[in-house]
Amino acid sequence: MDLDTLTKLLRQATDVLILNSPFKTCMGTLLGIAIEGFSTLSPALEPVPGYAWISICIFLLNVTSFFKRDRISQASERTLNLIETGRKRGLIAPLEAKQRFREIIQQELDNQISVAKKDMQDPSK
Amino acid sequence: MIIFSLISSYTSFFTYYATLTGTVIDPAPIFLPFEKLGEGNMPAIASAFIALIVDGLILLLGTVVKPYSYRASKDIKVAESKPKALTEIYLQSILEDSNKASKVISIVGIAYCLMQTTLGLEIQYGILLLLFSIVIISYIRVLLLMYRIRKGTYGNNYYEAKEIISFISEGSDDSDPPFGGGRNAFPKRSLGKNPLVDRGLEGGATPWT
Repeated sequence: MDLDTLTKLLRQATDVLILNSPFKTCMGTLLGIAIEGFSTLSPALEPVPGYAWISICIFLLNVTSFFKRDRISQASERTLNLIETGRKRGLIAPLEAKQRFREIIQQELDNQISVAKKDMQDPSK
Repeated sequence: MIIFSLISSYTSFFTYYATLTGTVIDPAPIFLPFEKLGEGNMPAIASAFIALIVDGLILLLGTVVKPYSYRASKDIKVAESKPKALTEIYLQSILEDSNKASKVISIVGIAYCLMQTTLGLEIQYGILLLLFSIVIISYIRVLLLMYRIRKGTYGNNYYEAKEIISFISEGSDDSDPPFGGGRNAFPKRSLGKNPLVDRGLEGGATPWT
């Protein structure tokens, strides 16, 4: 396994571990610890361990992320899927697939910049 | 005024706790660890040492990684290309998120130790370890992203391409003088029901153009 693949996999792993948002995860931990402190006031809640409160709160604060769709245009998504499928089936060489992914990023960026430029020229829209 | 309100809320918390549970807690134990430290109690010294190391490392991460990134961005001065500039902006946003997280975690760590000591409960070192690992993982994430950007390998796979395109669509630029305050640098207008039609002659992203 080359370093490129290794770092890519590690990135994906870290993203999963902190649920894509370290700040929300931290706030969930903060809330969990606070609730754990207050749970000592109620005999019914007292047996619930601290880890359970922290896990529940982290989940609750990140629940929107689970249902949030990537804000990516359908055309770009289709194209990305097409390249990825082609790469997996061996129809596109890995090196070419990498180049195509970059081209799509470049095209998307150019598209968004041209839309932004149009908006600046005509802010009334 | 703030100190007074903090003190009053602190004492009212113990009064409320006493009325609810019937157990009276003496607020004095909050100073107990410091008294133990003064007495030279070894477990207290060890706990304080561990707490200082953990919080110190968290704060250190927040201060060390940031200048490294700024130093790197100074080298570039004028970005070689638009995608390069974009990935640098993305890196900064991820870094800011991690820095915010490390600050919150430091506060959480201190608040947790304080709360457990005050309520006379045992400090679970597993929770402190969990807090520390969240910060470590978030900075490993930043360093991996930095590495991939520096090596020029970022954005060459499905996962990252989708990630950065999504970031372009969500991106906003508050520093734009004519419009300012939360204006979207890349408006969402292109994300209509049929984006292919919306783009018109500007062209969509096609794989084999």
